[in-house]
Order: sequence, then structure tokens, then C-alpha cells
Amino acid sequence: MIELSGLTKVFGRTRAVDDLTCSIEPGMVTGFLGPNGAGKTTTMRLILGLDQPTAGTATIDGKTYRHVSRPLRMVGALLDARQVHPNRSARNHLRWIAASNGIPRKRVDEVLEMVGLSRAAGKNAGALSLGMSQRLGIAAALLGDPPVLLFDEPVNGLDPEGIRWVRTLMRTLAGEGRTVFVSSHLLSEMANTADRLVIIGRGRLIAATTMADFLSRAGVSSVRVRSPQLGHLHEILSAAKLSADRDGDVLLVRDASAAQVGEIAAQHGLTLHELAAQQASLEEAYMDLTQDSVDYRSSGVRQ
Amino acid sequence: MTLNAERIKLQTVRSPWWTALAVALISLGLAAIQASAASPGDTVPPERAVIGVATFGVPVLMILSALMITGEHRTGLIRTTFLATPNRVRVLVAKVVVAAVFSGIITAVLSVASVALVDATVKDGGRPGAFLAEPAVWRTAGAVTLYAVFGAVLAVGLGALVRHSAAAVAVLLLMPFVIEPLLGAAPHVGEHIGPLFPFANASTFTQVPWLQTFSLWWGPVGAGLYFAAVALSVFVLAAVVVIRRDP
Repeated sequence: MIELSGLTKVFGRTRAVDDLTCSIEPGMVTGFLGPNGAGKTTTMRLILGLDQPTAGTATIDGKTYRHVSRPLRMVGALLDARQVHPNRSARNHLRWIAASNGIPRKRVDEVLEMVGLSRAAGKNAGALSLGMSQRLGIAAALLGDPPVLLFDEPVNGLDPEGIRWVRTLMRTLAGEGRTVFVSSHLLSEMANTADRLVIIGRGRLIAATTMADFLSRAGVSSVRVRSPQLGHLHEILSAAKLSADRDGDVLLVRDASAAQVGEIAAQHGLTLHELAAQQASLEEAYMDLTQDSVDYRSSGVRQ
Repeated sequence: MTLNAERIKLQTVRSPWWTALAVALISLGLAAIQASAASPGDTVPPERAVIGVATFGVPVLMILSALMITGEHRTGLIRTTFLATPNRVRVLVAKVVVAAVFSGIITAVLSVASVALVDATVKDGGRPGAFLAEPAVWRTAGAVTLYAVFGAVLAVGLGALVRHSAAAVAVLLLMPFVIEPLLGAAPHVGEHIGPLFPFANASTFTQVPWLQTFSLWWGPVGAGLYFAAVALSVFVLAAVVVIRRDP
């Protein structure tokens, strides 16, 4: 289990991670979502002791990473797959990592087999394709057979086959009772993989929820109505136990279908100027949540 | 464990071996020149025989030692290293030990080989291998080897401090070959600050003739201790900085 408590990291004037408190449970995949620049990578670096928090703590099974002597047996991490010496072979790269944590050498060949790199093991790490580098990074994370795994954008640059492989792997690892914490800036990547979601924006926690919860919220459909008798319509809808919000001359009816609202209006002989169903998609729900916290927004094209 | 990991790192890339080969060629080549320049009947003292090892070999090995850490910063590998061993002082110490042992062994072997080469070329009829019995040979080879060992400490410390290969190489080349000789030759001030230069002290310690010599009242042993103290100070400073800095 990973526990973050008031975790804060300030770079100059930027609060990259701002008072983040949450826990990541074992036995499931927790998706770590946020727009680019939200502080996902910094949070992971803080958990892994690479950066030192300005305030707060990040612990793994109650311990601070920097105080563990053989950390790879406790936590495996994939941060940036390109962090290798380009002229050292994939197998030798794993060999020194294994040696640094007293992991037996035969484990190197085991993980190479697991990630499907056995045949490319003699190749220099710099000559591997992005997908293969990613597999090498995952192999390094798996070396110590750790109960906790962190993956930072693991499917970046992978082909569809590779993406499916990573998803299956993460599900398998979680199924074995491990804690799996995976960051991504795309919700769609997480939709079929994660059990829980931790969503951040500008370093702050926006939501920590189960995927099921998030999906039901995303499924909310509303109906947009305009009518010259808007006040009257609002009363009738309330009597029919439909909640609605008035926004100028528009009424947004929540949890209702256009048919329902149209029929109610017809029964009471009300004129409607507009009746439109609004279905929020998964992406929209995510955008809604993170909208205010996008740092690098494109200015958009006016039509 | 960390030491073993650093040893594997050094042994699984080619650059250390190419560097060793280059150092061997420079060292033995300059030893051969010393021998051929000697007039018949002359003896070439061991500190002249090892001039290639001490003045060019050791600086090249120092650059290799510095690159052991700046190279990791360039590729980002340093983060993988700190993930595997979060105790950063342990990482630095392991790197220093590996760099010092590697540089020390190569320097020791090449120092003795340089003397042997000169001895074989400038022969005055003695039996082969007689030079091995001379204490002056071992004193020189030992001093140059110690210079290489503390040079590795200095270089790893410097590499950890500046993080950039170009910066580390610039310091390691400019200091002994440009800055020290220029400032040391500056009128009025040169003779005062010259004795404080680390590489001037290293040269006094090994007694290998170099561009200039200063009179150091602390003598060769004191000069050796001075160079070692500078190297260890840089290393300790690097350790303090690396503990605090986010890689």
C-alpha cells in the first residue's frame, strides 16, 4: 500500500504537488490521471525518493523509500524507459540492477522471458525500439518480484498489441494481490484497466474514486430545455421529482431523457423552444473534472 | 552489492577498455621516446620513464572516472541507479572504489612497464629485470599509482558536482595543462599561489618533471597528502550536494 499524506513539492514558484493525501490499495489497479503537467511524474518521483518533498510524506507499507536498503524487492518502478546506457546490452542492464539489490542472476533471464525480450537480450539498450525499451523498463521493475509497482505512462509509444499486453500484465499483477499504480493523461487508457482512480490537476487532488463510481457519474445524462413558460415548467418538473437547474433562459434537467421532459411539457400544454438531450461521455466527465487545472491549454480554433 | 553493480556497469561497456588501450599507447610511446632520446651510456631515471603515464595517462583516466557519473546524468541512468540504491553516498563511494581500483591497476602496470621498456632499450649490460630491485623504481611507480587513485576520487567527486561531461572534462584538462601553468607563471603572484595548485603538488609528489616546479616546503610526501586532501574535500562536498539535490 502506498500512502501519501499532505505531500507537497514546490519548484520555485510552482506548486508541482500540492497537499496531496490519498492511499493506493493493494490487489487492484489504481489509475493516476491528470492533464500533462498536473504533477503525476513528480508525485511518483516523490514516492520513489528521487525528489525530496517540500512538506508531507509518501510511504510504502509504512516506510520511506530512501530508508529501504534493497528497495527493488519492495517496489518496482518504470519512470522513463530511455534511462539506460545506450551501449550496454539489455541483459547487462538488468544484471547490474539485479546485483545492486542482491537479486539472483537467473532472475534476469526470467524477467526477460516474461516481457518477451529473450531474443533481444544481447542487443544494446540504445538500439531497442521504443516499445522494446518500454518492455525492458517493465522487466527492470519486475526484477525484485515486488509487491508494489509504479508505472509512469507505460503505454506511451506502444503499438496496440503492446498496449494490450501492458493492460493484461497490470491486471495480472493486481490479481496476484500487488499494489499497481499507473499514471496516464488519457482516461480511455485507464477505462478498461483501473479499478480505482486518483485524479489530480495542478498538483491538487481532484477526485479519488472507484472506476464504477466515476462511470456512473459520467453516464449522467441531462436535458436542455428552453420555454417561454420556464418558471412553470420548472415547478411541474420538480413535482415530477426531476431536479433541474436554471441557467438564464435555459433549464438543465438532470437524470432525465428528452422524451420524458417532452411528454411532461405536452401534458401541461407548455410550449418548448428547445429540447435537447445531452449525454456526457467518459472523456467529457474527465475534462469537466480537470478543466480548471489544465496548465498548457491550447488556445483553440474559433469557428 | 552496490560495489558489484558498479563493477558490472564498468565492465559491460566498451569505453573503459578503449580508454585503457589509449592510455597504454600514450604511456609506452612516451617511454620509448625517452629511451631513444637518451645518449649512449646515459641512464634514464624511473621518474622520466613514467612521464607518459603520469602526465597524460592519469588525466585521461580521470576523465573516464568523471564520465562514469556525468554519463549517467546525461542518459538519466542516474535515476535508475538511485532507485536501485537510494543511499546516494553508498553509490558515490562504490563509484569511487571502482574508478580508483581500475585507474590504480592500469597505472601501476603501465608505470612498471614503462620502466621495463626504457630499461630494455637503454641497456648497460646488466642482467634483464635488474631494475626491479631498485627502490627508486618502486617509489616512483607507487607514487604515480597513488596519484591515479586520488585522481579518481577527485574526478568522481567533480563529475558528481558538475553533472555535465563537457564541464568535467574542461576542468580536468584546463586545470593541469592551462590554468595552473598560466597562473603559476604570472609575475609576482605565480610563485605564491603556485604551491597551492593541486596538480603542481601531484607533480612534486611523483617527482615526474612537468612544465614548472615550485619549491614546496612540505616536500614530496606533504605534496602527496595535499593532493589527497584536495581530492577528498571535493568528494565530500559532492556527497553533501548529491544527498540534497533532486537528480
